[in-house]
Amino acid sequence: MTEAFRQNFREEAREILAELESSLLALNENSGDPDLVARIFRALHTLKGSGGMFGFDELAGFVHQLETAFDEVRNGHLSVTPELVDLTLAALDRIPAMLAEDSAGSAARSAQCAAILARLRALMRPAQTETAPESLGASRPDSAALEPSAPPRTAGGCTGDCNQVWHIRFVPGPDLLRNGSDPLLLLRELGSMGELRARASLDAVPPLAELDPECCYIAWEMTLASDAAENALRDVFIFVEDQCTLEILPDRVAAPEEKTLVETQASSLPLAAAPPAQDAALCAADQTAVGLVEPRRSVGRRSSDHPDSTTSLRVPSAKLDQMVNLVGELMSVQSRLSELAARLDDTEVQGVAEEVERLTSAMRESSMSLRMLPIRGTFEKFRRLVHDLARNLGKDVELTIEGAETELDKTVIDELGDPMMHLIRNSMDHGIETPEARVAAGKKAVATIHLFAHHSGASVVIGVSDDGAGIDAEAVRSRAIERGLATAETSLSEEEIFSLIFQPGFSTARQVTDLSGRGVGMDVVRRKVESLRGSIDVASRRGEGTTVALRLPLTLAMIDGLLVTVGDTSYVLPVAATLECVELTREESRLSGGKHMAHVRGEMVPYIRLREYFRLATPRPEREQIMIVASEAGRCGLVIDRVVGNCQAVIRNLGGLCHNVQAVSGATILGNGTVALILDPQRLVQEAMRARSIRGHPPSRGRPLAAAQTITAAGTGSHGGAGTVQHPFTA
Amino acid sequence: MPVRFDLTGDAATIRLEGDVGISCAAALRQLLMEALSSDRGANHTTRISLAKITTIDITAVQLLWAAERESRRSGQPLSAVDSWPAAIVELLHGTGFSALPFSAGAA
Repeated sequence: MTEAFRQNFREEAREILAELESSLLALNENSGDPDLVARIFRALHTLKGSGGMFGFDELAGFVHQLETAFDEVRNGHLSVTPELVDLTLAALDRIPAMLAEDSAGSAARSAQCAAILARLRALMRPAQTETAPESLGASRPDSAALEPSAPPRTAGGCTGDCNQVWHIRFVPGPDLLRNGSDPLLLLRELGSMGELRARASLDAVPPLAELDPECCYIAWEMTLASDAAENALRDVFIFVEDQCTLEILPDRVAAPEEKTLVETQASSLPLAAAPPAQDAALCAADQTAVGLVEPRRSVGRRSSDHPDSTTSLRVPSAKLDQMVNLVGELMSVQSRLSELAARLDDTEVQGVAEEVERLTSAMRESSMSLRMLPIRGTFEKFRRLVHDLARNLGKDVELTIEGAETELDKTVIDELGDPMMHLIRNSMDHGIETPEARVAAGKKAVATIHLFAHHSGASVVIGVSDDGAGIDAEAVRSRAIERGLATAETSLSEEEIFSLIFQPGFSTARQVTDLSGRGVGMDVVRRKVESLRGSIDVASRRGEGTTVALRLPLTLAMIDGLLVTVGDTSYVLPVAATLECVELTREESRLSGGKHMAHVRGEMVPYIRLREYFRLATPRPEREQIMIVASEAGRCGLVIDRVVGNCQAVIRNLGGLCHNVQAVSGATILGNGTVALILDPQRLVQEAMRARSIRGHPPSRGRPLAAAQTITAAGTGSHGGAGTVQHPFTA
Repeated sequence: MPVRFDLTGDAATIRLEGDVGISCAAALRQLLMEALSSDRGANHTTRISLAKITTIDITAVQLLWAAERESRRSGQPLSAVDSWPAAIVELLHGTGFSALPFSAGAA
């Protein structure tokens, strides 16, 4: 049972670590920002507290030290330096191993942690011996408005016999109790820090009949005479900050006589008519204090920072996938219902079928959108990469992001991480020049890497842009010639030159660095993008920079398809890949003399007969159709029997064994319960052409598909309840 | 069970014992509402036992105070059969409550 809690904590800790990392990187840019420091402190505090609670003692002890350091920052004793930020980042990097409780590396880890903490202590030590001049203005903007006559306070409250008096107003919000906090305990803790005089106000308590037992209607006005720093007082309420209204206002240092005025006797129950006289003094003091200083509201501080986490749910993605599958199957059944309704010619049934169609369509939209996530998370992750790489390479780079709210299917986002990382590494390593070189070239010393994303039709475009040196087309060309990919005479367009960089093993780098230059990265990018059914576009200008844009489908789960038949077998062709459809009569195909060429609008178009390609034995009909598709070699045709119509196909994976069958990208279950293979026309044409050039005769590359044949034969055995399932390859 | 209801003849007692907190707040409210309901005849009296409370949170304090107020307003009798434990009195005094509900002692 506790393991579930610990697992929960691990997930929470990972989120906190991510937030900490981005806050720390932001702190590098704005070292004076007190809100950032407060956020970091709060996150460390939570991490320590929860960690300790769930038994992650190593983590709690370690984070405690980090928390102490940032407490010093909060109090103005320690200033934010790049060294502090780097040290803290390095410290945070040790934490995942602690979460995993990996005993294997624990000795090395303790040594590393000890080293980090030692350096941290060294940073903190000089600050502690300084008599810190009052820097409250820097860390607490509200105190700047204190009356000029207020004597300066040293950080951490007063020493000696002056007792700082605080006015505290605490109004719990509706959720405070439900989140497990008890105001009485909070007040008791406050009371342990000094002399507390509190007055509970029961004015807002409704009649018993309307009272929500789990909601707190009581508010408190208090004065606390304490040596503690304001932050220490706020820390008492740190876990309920967002669920209450909290005002902590310093009073002028109270002279002994004034103390009696400020002191209040807790009032008797408000049933006794007007509030007692001594409250007037408190009210007066309150008013002056409030008039002087803007109360610091802590309600809602976090929600503006994380607009998408106010009310959200963490759901295992397996559950989501299951739902999408069910919706897909529902859609299949729904189209069968529609077919049936059309055939039955019964208006009532048709009406119901229409309603079901409308609802299913809405469900599909809704469930697809559940899987959509903004790309922000992926983009933000790269801040750390850019920061570290810039350090390592001695370059000064700024990362800008545009379109972080653009949403993509989760599956696509997951696959994007690697390609983007390669692109960024490449850009930083080869594209961006050193600050000296940049200045010499008349550019700003600080380079910019720009990540962008936006929707474009049914696709999403994601890219990396830099203002570096651009691609040296000449270098690429000569390297290509060296590697035999082109000859000196061939004239290559700029586009073709750029696409060469995606060839495996291609690299113009004279030096292979740790990061890139091996010619591996760009090839990986290309293959990954192709596997996602996307495309890459490269634009570059020498001396100005390079932009690499990836165009990807919005979702991998469904495809807009064209359903076609060959014999009794159905196939789905992606609509995006097909150009047009033309009739092919027997006469015409005979005329071409067996060369598999057809005359389409004045142009000769080569074609592949799917019947032959897939070795289907059914007889050829009198009229066939050619589906014209665009391929690398120009327009090409796929000959089929009949186009049935459009379909929204939910893509089902065929499984690992069919991975190598490039021409088939998946399968889908049709409205009538049969299975249709989803073809990838480009690949199909490529394979066919390759086979033709190898063997010198029309494509008959059915052999690799024999493997698919046996798989489907075996696989369909398990589709017991799905109705009749036809083998695509039945004779 | 921190909140219990005893009925002996016409005398009903709401017994609060042990840790009285948010987990039994809804039940306590229910009992208090019933005790104050005008459906109960004149012969019915409800008393509250507080002496065995070991810990209390704001929800119970709030409910008891609201119940006492309702009792005064409606005239339905509701009083304590014993006194608050000293520790609870101290806690509540220190956290802003100068007077506790039902603290007149045994009526």
